[in-house]
Amino acid sequence: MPQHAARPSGDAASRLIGAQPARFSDQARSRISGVLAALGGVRRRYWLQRSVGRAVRIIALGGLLAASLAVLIRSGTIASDMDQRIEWGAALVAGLGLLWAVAHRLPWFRAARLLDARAQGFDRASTALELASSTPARDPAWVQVQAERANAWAQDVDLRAALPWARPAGLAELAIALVCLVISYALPLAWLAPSGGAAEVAALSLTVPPAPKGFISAAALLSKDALELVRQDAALLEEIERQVDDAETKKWLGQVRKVLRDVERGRIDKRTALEQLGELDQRRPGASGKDSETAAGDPRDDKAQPGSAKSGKSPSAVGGEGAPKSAEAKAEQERQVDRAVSKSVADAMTKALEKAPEGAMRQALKRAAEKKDLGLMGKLLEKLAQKAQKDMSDKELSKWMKVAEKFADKVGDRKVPAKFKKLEERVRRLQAKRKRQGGLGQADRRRLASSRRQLQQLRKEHGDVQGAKYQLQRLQKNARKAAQEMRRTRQEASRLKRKRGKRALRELRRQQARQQMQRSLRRNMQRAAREMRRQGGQQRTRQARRIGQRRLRDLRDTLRQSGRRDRARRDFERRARNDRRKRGQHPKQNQKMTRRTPKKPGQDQSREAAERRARERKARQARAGGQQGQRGQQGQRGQRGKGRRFRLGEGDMPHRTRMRMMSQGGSQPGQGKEAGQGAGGPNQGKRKRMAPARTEQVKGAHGEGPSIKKVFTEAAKRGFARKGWREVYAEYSQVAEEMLESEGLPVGRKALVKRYFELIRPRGGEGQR
Amino acid sequence: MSNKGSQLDEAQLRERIDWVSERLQTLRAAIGEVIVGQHDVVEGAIIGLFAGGHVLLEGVPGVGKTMLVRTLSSAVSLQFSRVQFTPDLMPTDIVGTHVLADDGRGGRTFTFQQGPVFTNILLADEVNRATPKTQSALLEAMAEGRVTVGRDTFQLDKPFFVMATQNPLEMEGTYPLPEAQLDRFMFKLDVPFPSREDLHEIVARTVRNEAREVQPVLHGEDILTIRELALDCPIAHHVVDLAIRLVEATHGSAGAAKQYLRAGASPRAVQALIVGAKMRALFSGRVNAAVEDVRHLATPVLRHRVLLNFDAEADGVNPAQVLEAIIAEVGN
Repeated sequence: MPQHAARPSGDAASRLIGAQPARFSDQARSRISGVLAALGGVRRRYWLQRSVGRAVRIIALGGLLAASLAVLIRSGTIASDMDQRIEWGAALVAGLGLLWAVAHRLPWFRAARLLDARAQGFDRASTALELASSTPARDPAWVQVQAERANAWAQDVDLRAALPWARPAGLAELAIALVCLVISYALPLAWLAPSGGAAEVAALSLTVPPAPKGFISAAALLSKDALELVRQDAALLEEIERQVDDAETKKWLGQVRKVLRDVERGRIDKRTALEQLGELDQRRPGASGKDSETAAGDPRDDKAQPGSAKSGKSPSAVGGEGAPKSAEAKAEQERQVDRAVSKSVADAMTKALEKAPEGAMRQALKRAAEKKDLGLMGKLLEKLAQKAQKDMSDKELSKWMKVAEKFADKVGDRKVPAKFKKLEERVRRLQAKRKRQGGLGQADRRRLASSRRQLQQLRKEHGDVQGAKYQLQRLQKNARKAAQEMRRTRQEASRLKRKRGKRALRELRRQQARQQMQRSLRRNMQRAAREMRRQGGQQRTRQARRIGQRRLRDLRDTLRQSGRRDRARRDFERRARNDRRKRGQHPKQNQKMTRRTPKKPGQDQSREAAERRARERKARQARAGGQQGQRGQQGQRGQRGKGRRFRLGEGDMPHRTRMRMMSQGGSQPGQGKEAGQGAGGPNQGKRKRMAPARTEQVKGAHGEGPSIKKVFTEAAKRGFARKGWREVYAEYSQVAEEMLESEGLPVGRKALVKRYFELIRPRGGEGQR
Repeated sequence: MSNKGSQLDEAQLRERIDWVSERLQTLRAAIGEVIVGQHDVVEGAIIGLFAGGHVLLEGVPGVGKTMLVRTLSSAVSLQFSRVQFTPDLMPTDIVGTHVLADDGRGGRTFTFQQGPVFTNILLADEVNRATPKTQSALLEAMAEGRVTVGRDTFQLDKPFFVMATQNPLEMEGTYPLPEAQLDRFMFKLDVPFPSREDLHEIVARTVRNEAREVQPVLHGEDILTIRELALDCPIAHHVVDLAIRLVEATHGSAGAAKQYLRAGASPRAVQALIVGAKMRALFSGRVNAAVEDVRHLATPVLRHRVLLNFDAEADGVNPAQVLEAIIAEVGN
């Protein structure tokens, strides 16, 4: 029964008669002219009412959509830059809605049924319409009589009464939509703003706004997780941009941020994005030779590095990483300089503060030293200078003077440069010897390796001492000057006291000495503070550049990996499920990867000879340069442990390339099951020379290979945590970021680690520690 | 007035339609002189008579069922017979029987003695009190207009119209009509108890020494003419479609039909609906049947043709209520 009920009545009849006036013959038209005239009126009124009703509904719907979009935009879920696209979309929808509202027509037969129903017609009009259009014609007499009576009835029909103007449906929805629209645009929606804690980034004290909840509207260039990270990166860079003073860095950061935004919103394609990112990477401030600030931390470092200038080699070059510094090496050097300066100054301040008078200032300086925040220390020293001028007792002045003196003594450990110099000299000597004799004895090899290790360790701990030395000297000079001034003033006062002996004069001199001491302390402290703040500013700028560069490269890697992401994820999930059946395919793949390229018949002999010469030259370079980098050695160990993926002795292969290949071809670098069994170092060069090596492109599937899981329990053994979570997080996140940067992890895994640290980031107010 | 509707020209047709309309209104007015109120019942009886169907009247005793039949027969000037159905009534008591009679030449022969069925209007009073055997004696007469007794078949006069009555209260000792018998009735009309005003009028008209006589306004031939004319009355396809959908809906597998009906109406119901709608249109002075006619006649046509199930009995639902729901479900 419902199927009968659901079937619209009169459909069959409507089909039979066609429901089109064009099918009425002229005779039929003339016969039922009155009925047709009435039906025309019905159709017009119906069209008007229906159109208005539909328009109201469309407007209501549009209003609700607009309100929703407004809420989403204001809450930050949709970026406001999408406004233009939203406007176009809204215009299109409005156009289609308008078309839908007006593009309808009531069929003639339905109009007749409607008129019959509304005007008590007892189917006069519909029957007349059917009889007039029926072929062959039915009883002519009946048709004529029926048409006459239908016409007569239709002429008497009052259409206004039969089809009165009805209030269009949807007015309530329209009112609701308007209210929503007003609310969404007019009322403050602070509760919609993204909430969340801050991610502190080292000394910049940056706040990373959390990723907007839910809706991501960017194109499918990147995955959802990657887009969230890109969005966070853009927000982070914006924050950094505000804090950095350097105009050039500011501009560069803005350009990086723009590319991030474009990628996030899908405005540019992958190729364009990669091109722009590559260009920005090239134009990075401090990346060119003109700007040596980045490399050494200060434009005057060139002058301050006579040894380097004379020898034409930087200390790292001596360490074996090649004469032209790579961008990574420069960045690493910058970081080392920053760390060394910060550490030295902070250590000096910490030690000097042992003799400082108790008080808030001492605590503040201590905290700043613990944080290694040079900028903050500069501010505090300025405050100290002001305080010394105003309300500081003689005792306090004296103590602070001692502090300044000790700080001047402690800042910059003079033993470190000497140690550096000694190790560098030893390495250089041993290398020269090897070059001269074509090899080294076992004892010399051990000495060379040991020196390199020590150099690496020193570099890690103190950074590039040549770069840091100048900065520390400036600080030391200023601090010492302050201390000397204070000491001289005190001595002058003592001398006056001994000579004159008169009480009044003594008092007068004491006052003068105090004033002098105050002035001196203030002046010199201010000078030291200025210097420290300047260093802090440079530190911030360099840090900002590094962060920008890191984000930029992350995005490049992510974009490059974007096409392979799904496959990698599937492989990862398959491995997570421990699907041994599929894993059994790996050896075949590995074999395939290590298979050598067969020689082509008829290959040019001279070309072979040239290749052989090139290989030998590379092997020599590998022997000479060695596998100095620790990570490179690890990678080779892992590689050798597996024994299949890469050939031994490729010492000339850049470290980063090796890492990338390893990460693509197998597991984590150097994490093979038999990792560490290989003997890295100069012997590898021999092996390579002995092997019939050739240069070939090694390809591997991303994410394949075994992996190692290890639980580090060292921290847990030390007992319960004594630090607040914020402090722990700040340390750990910094270390994690550095490791992410330095290790050749796949981009997909980087995103996971970042995501993890984002999730464990301390949130809430101060109460949550 | 012997020409068929389809053979008439436009003028004649207009004249014929006007005449029919006027006669039917006159007939109704004449009946209304005797029968107070009961407009739907009167209209149903007239439509049944002119459409060639039979009508089953159901109502409590004393509401004017027999009076209606008698008045109608008087108004159309037709022969009228009345049979009071009792349990001991035999079929021969209705259709007649062969009796041994003197042939006038000294011999004796069997001659057919016609029963009361040989009439134009038969009133089968309290038809459910007779046994099914006796009730079935009416089957052939109602369906085919003839009677077969032994080897002889006798054609009944036209028009032949049966009006049966039954009492819904005294069900003890009755024999409910079988479905085949019920299906022969075009309408089943419920004769309601009169309203207070109608009762006042009934008292005023009847409780006095003056007896109202109904003058004939139509004859048997006129009835046949009107019937032929009505059958030619045009009806739109969607009206026919509605009638079909209504009948189909009584067999439906969902809704009220599924809930309360055990069996639906027969195709004879569609015929009854269409013919009744046409007749009602003419009765109203229109020249085309309308959906309103079909909806109006749906209940009297289908009421006795559907069988309620146990749920309906348990819920106290009557067929009219189920049909109202079905009509609402089918819509237009």
